[in-house]
Amino acid sequence: MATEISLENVWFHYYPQTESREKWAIQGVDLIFQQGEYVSIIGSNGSGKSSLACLINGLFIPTNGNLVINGQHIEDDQGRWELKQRIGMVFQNPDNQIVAPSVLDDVAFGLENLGVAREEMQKRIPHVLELVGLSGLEKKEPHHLSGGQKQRLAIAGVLAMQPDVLIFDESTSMLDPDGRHHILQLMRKLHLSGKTIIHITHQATEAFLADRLVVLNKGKVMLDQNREALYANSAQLTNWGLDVPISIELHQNLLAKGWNLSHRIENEEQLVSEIWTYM
Amino acid sequence: MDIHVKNISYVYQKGTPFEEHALSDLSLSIPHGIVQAVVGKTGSGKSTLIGLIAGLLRPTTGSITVGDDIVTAKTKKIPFRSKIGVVFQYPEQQLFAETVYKDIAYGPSNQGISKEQLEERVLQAIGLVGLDESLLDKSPFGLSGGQMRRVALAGVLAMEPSILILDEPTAGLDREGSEQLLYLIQTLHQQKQVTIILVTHQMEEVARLANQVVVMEAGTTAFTGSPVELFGDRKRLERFGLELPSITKLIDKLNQKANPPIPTSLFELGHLVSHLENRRKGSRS
Ligand SMILES: Nc1ncnc2c1ncn2[C@@H]1O[C@H](COP(=O)(O)OP(=O)(O)OP(=O)(O)O)[C@@H](O)[C@H]1O
Ligand SMILES: Nc1ncnc2c1ncn2[C@@H]1O[C@H](COP(=O)(O)OP(=O)(O)OP(=O)(O)O)[C@@H](O)[C@H]1O
Ligand SMILES: [Mg+2]
Ligand SMILES: [Mg+2]
Repeated sequence: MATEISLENVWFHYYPQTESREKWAIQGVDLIFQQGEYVSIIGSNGSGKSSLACLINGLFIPTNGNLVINGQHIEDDQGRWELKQRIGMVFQNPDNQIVAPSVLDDVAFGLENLGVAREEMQKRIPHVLELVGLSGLEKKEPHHLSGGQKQRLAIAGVLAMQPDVLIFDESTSMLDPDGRHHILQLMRKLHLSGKTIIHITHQATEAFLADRLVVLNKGKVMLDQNREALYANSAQLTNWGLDVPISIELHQNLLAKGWNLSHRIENEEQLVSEIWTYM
Repeated sequence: MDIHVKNISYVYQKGTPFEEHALSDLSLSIPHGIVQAVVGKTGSGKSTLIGLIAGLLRPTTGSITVGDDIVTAKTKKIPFRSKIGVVFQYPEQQLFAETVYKDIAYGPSNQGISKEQLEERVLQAIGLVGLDESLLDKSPFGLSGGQMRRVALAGVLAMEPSILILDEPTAGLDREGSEQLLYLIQTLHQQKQVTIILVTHQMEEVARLANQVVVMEAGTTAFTGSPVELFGDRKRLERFGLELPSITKLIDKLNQKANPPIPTSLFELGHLVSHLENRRKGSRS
């Protein structure tokens, strides 16, 4: 199935009565996510990434503006039902998402809510627990898990629901290096199988795995570009307090020292070869 | 205050069907004033270990010495708890007050300082973590993830502990916030000789900051040594499920065309830049 999400001049605030518009969490965002896209959302702390994610998955309703999914406004019952079926989100803090008394029940809970049949659940649950590396911990109480184990459980819960669109809100922030690579590979695989991936992250190495990057600052979209274009311009990300690929930092530093390198670097290989040529 | 962890084990929910042996026969010495990094896979026991050092848990067997105080399974009151500041893995777990200001002020307000000193400590702490002053009157629960992290950090810093334990403190911080924190760790270490125990999955942080690093594996230490030693043995690193810092990966790429190779012990971008500058000047003269 295909899910197209469209935000039209969306504004959002937690307490609209009390604060002036410049303080709203989301300020006039226009974005379209087509089925099958792999997008990273980056932005400094408090720039509105999680608020935007909660709007996209229907947890929050825009204070002003429209959120349209496959042509349905999400204020309609039909629209909200669509959202619930099709969009899954891994929350920034897994504790906000974990509800059941055991790892197994926690994954099952989401599936029961979607009305998935028993036999189907029995297939999906062991599969996703395996995928995130939690096999063997089925009976454990979620609040007795380690920090990274909780994060893995939150990911498993959403994977099991098999939504069209998966939103990961900093879901790799507490994973060990192996675990992180594993989940990043999984995102790529899901994307290749046609899912929409929206990945919120602070790490440039992770963000630049996506095909498209959206930069948020103070509730507004500052940039919305494909990977190649943004990579070449990524030095400007520092302006918003954001992480920059290390090769770009090195490039900037060498330019500042007067090295005669191309001003536009498209990838690491180009930088490496230019450095040795210039020597 | 040196820290000595001797042959400890720790069992969660002992005597129930859910019994979990989180640590076994672990020993570790952390000399006063160093930056000690703790790395290792999910579930390997990092948070449990620091919970024990911080005096929040008691070892099932073995002992923990901090300065002159010793803690074993039988110790009733843990004497050093007040000297140690801990920032938990999930900051929400330590926020509790009505406002950000009250949250940060809570710790130092129990240290018998004047009202003026208290206010100064709070303002200084929010400056150190780069938290906007306009957030002081907000509820700490009405904040973004990274803002909560900063409040939790500020609350602990305001107590000026002589041992500071940070459990994955840059998770959720933006680049500016992480850089600020890493700089702060360096300053506390160099200027105030604060002992810092840093649990992290970010190898850059280990490379840039740590004097000593321990790799945890299945509840015990699999390696103790310097970052240069850890990152020097690539095969072993992979076996631990760890990775190279991104600067080392870049140097590896540069080295495919370099003779002699660039030393892989350069962990600061500035040092790499100087190295390349010197080489260029050398090749031109
Ligand atoms: N529950 C809440 N109540 C009130 N204000 C909130 C709440 N959650 C977030 N905010 C505010 O809304 C703004 C955007 O927050 P949001 O959580 O969307 O940021 P973010 O980009 O996800 O940041 P981070 O990288 O720190 O997770 C911030 O100014 C924040 O203080
Ligand atoms: N309260 C608890 N009750 C039972 N078992 C627990 C509890 N807390 C942790 N454990 C278990 O103890 C082991 C060590 O957990 P710990 O939190 O120390 O790991 P960690 O190295 O910090 O992992 P992470 O990188 O995921 O944070 C894990 O297997 C975990 O499931
Ligand atoms: Mg967020
Ligand atoms: Mg932990």
